[in-house]
Amino acid sequence: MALVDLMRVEQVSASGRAEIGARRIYILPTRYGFIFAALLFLMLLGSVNYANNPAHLLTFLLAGLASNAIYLTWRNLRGLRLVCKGASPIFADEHGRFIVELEKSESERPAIQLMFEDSEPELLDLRAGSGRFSRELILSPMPRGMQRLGRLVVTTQYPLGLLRAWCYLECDRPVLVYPRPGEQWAPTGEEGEETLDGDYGRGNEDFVGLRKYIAGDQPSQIDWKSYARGRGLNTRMFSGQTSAPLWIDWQEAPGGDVEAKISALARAVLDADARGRPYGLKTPEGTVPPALGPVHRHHCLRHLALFGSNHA
Amino acid sequence: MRDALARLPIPQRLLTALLLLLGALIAPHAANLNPLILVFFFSAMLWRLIAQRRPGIMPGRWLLMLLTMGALVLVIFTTNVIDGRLAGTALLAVMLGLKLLELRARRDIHVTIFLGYFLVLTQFLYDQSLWLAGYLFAGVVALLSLQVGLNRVNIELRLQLRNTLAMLVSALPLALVVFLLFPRLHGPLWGVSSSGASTGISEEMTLGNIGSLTRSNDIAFRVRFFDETPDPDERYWRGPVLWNTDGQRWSAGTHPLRSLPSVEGDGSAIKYEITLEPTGSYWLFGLDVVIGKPPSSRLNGNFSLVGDQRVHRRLSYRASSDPDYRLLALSEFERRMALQLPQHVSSRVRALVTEWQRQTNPDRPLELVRKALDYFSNQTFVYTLSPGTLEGDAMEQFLFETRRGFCEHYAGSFALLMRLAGIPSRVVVGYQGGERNPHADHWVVRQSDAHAWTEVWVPKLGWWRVDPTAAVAPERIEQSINPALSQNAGQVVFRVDDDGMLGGLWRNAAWLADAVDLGWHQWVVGFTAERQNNLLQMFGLRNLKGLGLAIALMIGSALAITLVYLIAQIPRSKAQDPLPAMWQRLLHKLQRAGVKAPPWHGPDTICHVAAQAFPQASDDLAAINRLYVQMRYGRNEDRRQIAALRKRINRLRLKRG
Repeated sequence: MALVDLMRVEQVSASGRAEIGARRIYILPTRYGFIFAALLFLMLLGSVNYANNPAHLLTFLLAGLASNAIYLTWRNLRGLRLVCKGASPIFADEHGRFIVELEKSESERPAIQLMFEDSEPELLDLRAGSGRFSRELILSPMPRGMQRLGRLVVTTQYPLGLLRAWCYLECDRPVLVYPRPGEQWAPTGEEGEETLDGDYGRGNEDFVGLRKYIAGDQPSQIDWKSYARGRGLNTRMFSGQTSAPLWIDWQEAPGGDVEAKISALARAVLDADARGRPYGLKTPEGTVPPALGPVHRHHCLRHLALFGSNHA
Repeated sequence: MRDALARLPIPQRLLTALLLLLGALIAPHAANLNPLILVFFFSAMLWRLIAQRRPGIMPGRWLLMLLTMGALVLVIFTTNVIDGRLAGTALLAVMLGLKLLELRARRDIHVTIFLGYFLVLTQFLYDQSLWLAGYLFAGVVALLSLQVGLNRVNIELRLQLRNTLAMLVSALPLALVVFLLFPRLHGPLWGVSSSGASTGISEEMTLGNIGSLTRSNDIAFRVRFFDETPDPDERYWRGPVLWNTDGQRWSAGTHPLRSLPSVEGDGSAIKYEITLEPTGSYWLFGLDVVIGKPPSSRLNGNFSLVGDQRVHRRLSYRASSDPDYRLLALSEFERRMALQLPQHVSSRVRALVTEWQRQTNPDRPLELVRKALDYFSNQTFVYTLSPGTLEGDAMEQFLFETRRGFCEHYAGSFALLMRLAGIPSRVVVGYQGGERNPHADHWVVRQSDAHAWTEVWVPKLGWWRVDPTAAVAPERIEQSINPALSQNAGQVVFRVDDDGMLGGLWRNAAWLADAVDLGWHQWVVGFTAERQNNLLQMFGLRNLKGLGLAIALMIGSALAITLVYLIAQIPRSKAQDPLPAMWQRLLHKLQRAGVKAPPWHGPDTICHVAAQAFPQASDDLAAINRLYVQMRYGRNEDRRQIAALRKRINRLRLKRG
């Protein structure tokens, strides 16, 4: 831990913004840097042995270039401003996409490499100009829960590849990982328990017509085809009986251990959401009251994702 | 740490450029390397070029191993392994070829570029001329921009070239400081074999050999005088002194004089620096007569300068001379040497000398010298580069029949005549004259200025320079010979600058090139430990060696790095897009007039609001808006009207109506 404390890490602000400070940049020679140094030594030996002054000059010119490369490589990172946007929730075993926006500046910043310590590196040339340039970092699959990412490492070797400058960014943008959906199963109450008092237009079985969009209607109910034809936003109406809310219950979920049960519940949430039937969730850690829609789906999956952790 | 750059595919265009560039960089080695080595390299290069299109033909591991062994055998059998320089270069060339054949990943390109830098260095080991250096510098710029391109994702050649040049310029201060302060050794670390044929003046004079030298326009050496310049008739550049003769050939003699005779002068020394072209011999040249010799050389008994080593590459040295010299002592041995006669001297020649002796006072040898010179100038002697061949008694034929000769004819026969008259005499070969480069403060002495003259011993005066050529062709001393014209005419044609405007331009350019070439030599190629010391002395750092030099080197480098860093910190006013600047100007104008133009308003809105406030200017505002929107959001080609927009914005008057 002492080492980590000594390390200079740039803290990302709560809004996700960070600027790479001049004193936070590490720089060391790359493998090519060492090879180049050996080459320069050989060239110097040759120049001295043959007392050849143009050769001396060439050697010193290359040495001067390598020496300046220290500054140039460092400068390629210094003052780089970026915004860690974070990643949308994903399911376990999926690759998340973490969005980072880099701010352009007066001079170009070629060959900037972005990487979380355990993800695939992303490489880009940041052109000169104004505005931002957005890049997605592909994350490696993670288990369910609120997953903290490691440090974001911003690296560059430009211009000569002899040196690598890098900077650590501690960015507090955890990724919510939903549980991996398990096998399909049917919670009790899936088939029946229909109420008799029909409610025109509020059911979910037979299409009966369109009405004007009212703010709050679900996007899946909007008749996008008529919108495309220029008829404005309309909501499709369905007849049928309003379904009684379906309860997705921990007790009924198949599977022996906790993880299997959570996977099964996640599957049931997705199925119920797809069917458009209001549903609620009951687990030993609490209850999510019945509702429908993407926000509700997120609440349920989040509840499952954080099951057993302190966040619940 | 993972490196995404290394995993990118090979940039094909960059690789093609690199292959062709390496071919161009190895090409000057055609003069040095065995053709087979070059054939090997270029075949490998061609192979790799074709493999760009058809990756299938890249050699496999076994074939590559076979090729490697073949290449090694080739190097061993075609190169003299004792010559480390040549063997090393040949090895580098074949290795580079092999590297191209196994080039499969981006990292291989890095290493290939590094080998390219080394290739440039090997070129300098054979030729250090400015012209080759310029060519190679362009090659280094290209290599460097390829290296920069390799380290970014999108390769943009023009931008890269600009960045590369900027990088080179900022690397120069450090490179120069280290170049000037890095300690120079006096000898090589290990054996350096030398070769090279002898050119220029030799320590032997046969009739015709100086004449043939004179046909060459090549530069023998260049001279820079530090304060005063000697008069034309003092510009005798002393080389070897010849004592022995058989009537036709003159040579230095078998008993070289070791002891330095005493010299007497008025103490006024001319200081100068000579940059000698390679001669392959030990002789150095100095203004007659050298009193302050350069280091690593000695003055022999004839007051000729002899270097410690053969001059195989350009050499710069400083010396001082006193033109009003007197070489006094003459030992008995020297007197005998200076009076030796060839075995056969014709009676007709003897009769001529006896006649002169009769007419002059034997106590005044200069009278006889005068007689002989008068003979050359009064009779119909011709100064010519094509004297024809002399048969039988060359001396007699020349003096009485052909009477056509070049400086060696006159110097040789004059020295012989003096010896017949009992006056000790010898022949000096060297150069006479020189041309001033109008663009630089130095003089150029060419092979065509090669000359031979005599010295006679006169009591009290000592060795006295007599130039019989001056008696025949006095203009020779004032002017240089024009070898190109003399060759055709037979008659000696002197350099006269009357060749018209075009010729004048050409001559000017040639002099300029000569000045640049000398500067390159004096400040780069010939920058020796001695010159380094002179430079340091200018900064008051006398006798800086070892640790002192190392400290100076470190301080100098630190200063250079700091300088570049500070310059890089200066914010540059970038060449900005003029349109936003113009728009800002308009907004500023509106703001002063009291129109609110918040940043979230677009041009349409702003112009609309302004036109409402100033109805009189509404037409102007509409025109400005139209031009601005057209250029700002249209294509680049529509930017021709930028001047019109500027004019309209500048002329815009906002008055409340």
